[in-house]
Amino acid sequence: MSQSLIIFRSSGKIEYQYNTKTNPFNEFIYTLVNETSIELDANFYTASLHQKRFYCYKRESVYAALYFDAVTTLDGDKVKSTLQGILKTYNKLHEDEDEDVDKLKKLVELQFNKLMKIKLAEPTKPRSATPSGASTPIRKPGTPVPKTPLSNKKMRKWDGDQISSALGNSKTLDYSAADDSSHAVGDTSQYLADDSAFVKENELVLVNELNDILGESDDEEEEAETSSKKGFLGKLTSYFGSNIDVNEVSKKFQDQLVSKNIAPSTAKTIIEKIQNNFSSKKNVTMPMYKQALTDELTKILTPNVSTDLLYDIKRNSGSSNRAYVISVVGVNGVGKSTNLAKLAFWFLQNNMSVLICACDTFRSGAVEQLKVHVNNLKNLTSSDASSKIDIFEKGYGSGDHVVATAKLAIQHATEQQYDIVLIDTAGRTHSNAKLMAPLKKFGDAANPDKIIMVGEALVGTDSVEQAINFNNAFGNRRSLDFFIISKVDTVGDLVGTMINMVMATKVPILFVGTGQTYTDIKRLSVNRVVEMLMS
Amino acid sequence: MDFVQKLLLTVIAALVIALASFALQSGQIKVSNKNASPHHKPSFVILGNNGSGKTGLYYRLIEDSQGENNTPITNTVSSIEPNFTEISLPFSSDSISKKYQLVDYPGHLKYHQLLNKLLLEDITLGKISGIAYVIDSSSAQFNANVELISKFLFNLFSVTERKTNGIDVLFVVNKTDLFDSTPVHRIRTILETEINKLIQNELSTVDKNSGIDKDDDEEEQGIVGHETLREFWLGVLSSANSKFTFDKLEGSMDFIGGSVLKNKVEGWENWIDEKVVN
Repeated sequence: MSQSLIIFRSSGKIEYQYNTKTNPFNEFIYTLVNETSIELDANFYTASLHQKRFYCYKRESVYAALYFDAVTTLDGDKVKSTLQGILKTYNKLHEDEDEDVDKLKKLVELQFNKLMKIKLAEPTKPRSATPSGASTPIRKPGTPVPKTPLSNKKMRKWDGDQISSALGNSKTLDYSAADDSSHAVGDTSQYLADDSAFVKENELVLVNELNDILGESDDEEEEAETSSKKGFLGKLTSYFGSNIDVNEVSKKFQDQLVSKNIAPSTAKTIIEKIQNNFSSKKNVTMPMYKQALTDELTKILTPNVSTDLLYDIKRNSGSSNRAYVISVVGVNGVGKSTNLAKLAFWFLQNNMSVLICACDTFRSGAVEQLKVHVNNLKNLTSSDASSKIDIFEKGYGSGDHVVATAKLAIQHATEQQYDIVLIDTAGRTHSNAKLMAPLKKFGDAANPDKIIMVGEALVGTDSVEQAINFNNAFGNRRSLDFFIISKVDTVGDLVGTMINMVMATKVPILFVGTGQTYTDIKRLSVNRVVEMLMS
Repeated sequence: MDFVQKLLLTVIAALVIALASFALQSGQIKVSNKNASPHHKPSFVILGNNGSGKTGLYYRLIEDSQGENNTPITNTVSSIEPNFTEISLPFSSDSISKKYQLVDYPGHLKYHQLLNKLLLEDITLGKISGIAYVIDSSSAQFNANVELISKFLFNLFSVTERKTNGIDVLFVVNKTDLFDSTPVHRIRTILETEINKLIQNELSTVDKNSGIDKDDDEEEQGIVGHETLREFWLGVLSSANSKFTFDKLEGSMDFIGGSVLKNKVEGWENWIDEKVVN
């Protein structure tokens, strides 16, 4: 069984570690950075990787994170309250001048073990005996559980190998009863029973101390809130220091983002994140806020994978027999075939041989349209270079015809030593499950090296749905590789669609289509898009 | 009368200040101080892939500059934010004690776009005294990441070499204490071949007119004196047929082995000292 807990700063420094297993956390942090982790609550994240379940709670720049084997499950709220408690303990002890590493260690371990023991006990002992509102599943039956309406933090007491939940002020601990209940759970936590009697007293002291800290920190928070109401002097200095009201400015920028065609919910998420970062800081100025937003947008648009497609293909043709397969998907009329032809032209310019496969066997005229493109491209390509282009088609048909055509095309390309196969697919409405289902079959059969979705910049809020549905269409083992955003020349600076699609799927944008000719395709310039959004 | 005059003057002064600050706040007057960034100072920048040991090195250097040798290594996980700190250099003598900014930049691909901004606009090239590029030398890690590393360097050099005489780069070959560590000279030659491949790839796309190959986006952005990647690398190689070596760059490229974990950092510290003293 593996489990661990760390407290770390965003700088990467580990402030506390439960054991030496810190390596798995790196991958988790990777998901935090790429924002593929799930945000359960404000500042509370989770992700499952390699049969481990990670939880992380963030407060200012300090993170508390833990993981355990994914076979067991734990209530997210419980994990959250534990992590919150651990962070509070850490902050409290960190503020004190005489930093007591030992004490921190003990207090944090206490809380972590408590959580882990819940996990141990849970599968064997259902929560039947617990009254509502309890945060611990095992408790002596019959103990009254009074609740204070004021504090939402429950004071917990530790008695050896058993947790009993009690109110903060009641300092009594019923040892005999605790012993009784320890028999009840004896089978699940036997190995802990031995040291209980010996360490009990020691731990009791710790528990009291812990309760003190948790209680105290709560007060502090409230104090901070009240003191943030500025007095007259505060107002005066804020006026002269040209400070801004973060909430007001946030609202303004949120409106601006929405006006740039970013979906309202997406804009809200972005702005809330920045607001969150600034909530603890005072003296926020306008340039600071703008800079934070610019950085955030840049981070969103920067691809998290290598983007050198040409290099990938060249390596592939050197090492593998199979041609490099790229397929293009998207909603009807977004420009799949046009962008496919643009890509083909780019590959031809780079001395590669391209086979275009017409897998839109549904719409009449689709194959002929591709033929026109191929003829044009043939005329544009000089005959002496190593580049060649051709079309592979098997006419129209439905059902398995698409899969069969794709398979034959790849086989043909591999035999004829083409570098790349570009597969055009039929446009489909993303909300129609009947049309989307064949995509999975197609993806499995053709197994493309890259799946590209073409999305148009013209579409507004619907882009989020489109991106998500297409990303999910290939099953859970395959997703889109990148986007081409078409018709960017038609929207001016309302390029919010890009943010929508990237935020919804975490799939990067590589190219943008900017016109009708074969040369009107550009690499995405992150800086320029961000500039447009901010202007 | 004196008192009234004083009072009047103060009232007027207060009014003027209030008006001025209002104008500032509402952005009517732009304060034009270039390089307002707090990071605009002489700096050493630590770069490298995830998990190569940047943050470990960062804390090691801080401790050493404070004269606290032989402290155990600071345990780290992947950084989420860049680290900045001021340290006094050189390590070897306290008497000179110049202030330098030490920057530890995370290796995530997501942050690469922002790195260029940091190097060019915040710190600015003129203020970068040196770059320490950390490489994990264990062969498993190195072989898996060699493409990422060479691609990163390929782009990085096109930025750093814009400075006259280039920026000196120290290749911190970390983790040489591991049994499967790749020798320092091997790392150098492997990187040279890999970067050479990338350059040849870039050069072979000369005279193409597909929009993807054209960098006119960047030109429109108007970075003064910025040439395209292709022109830059052609300039470095002087002829398209020659092979890339690190010697062809203007900045000095030094490969020095060591281990942050085992506190074998003298070679790297000497390199930094050398840059400080010169």
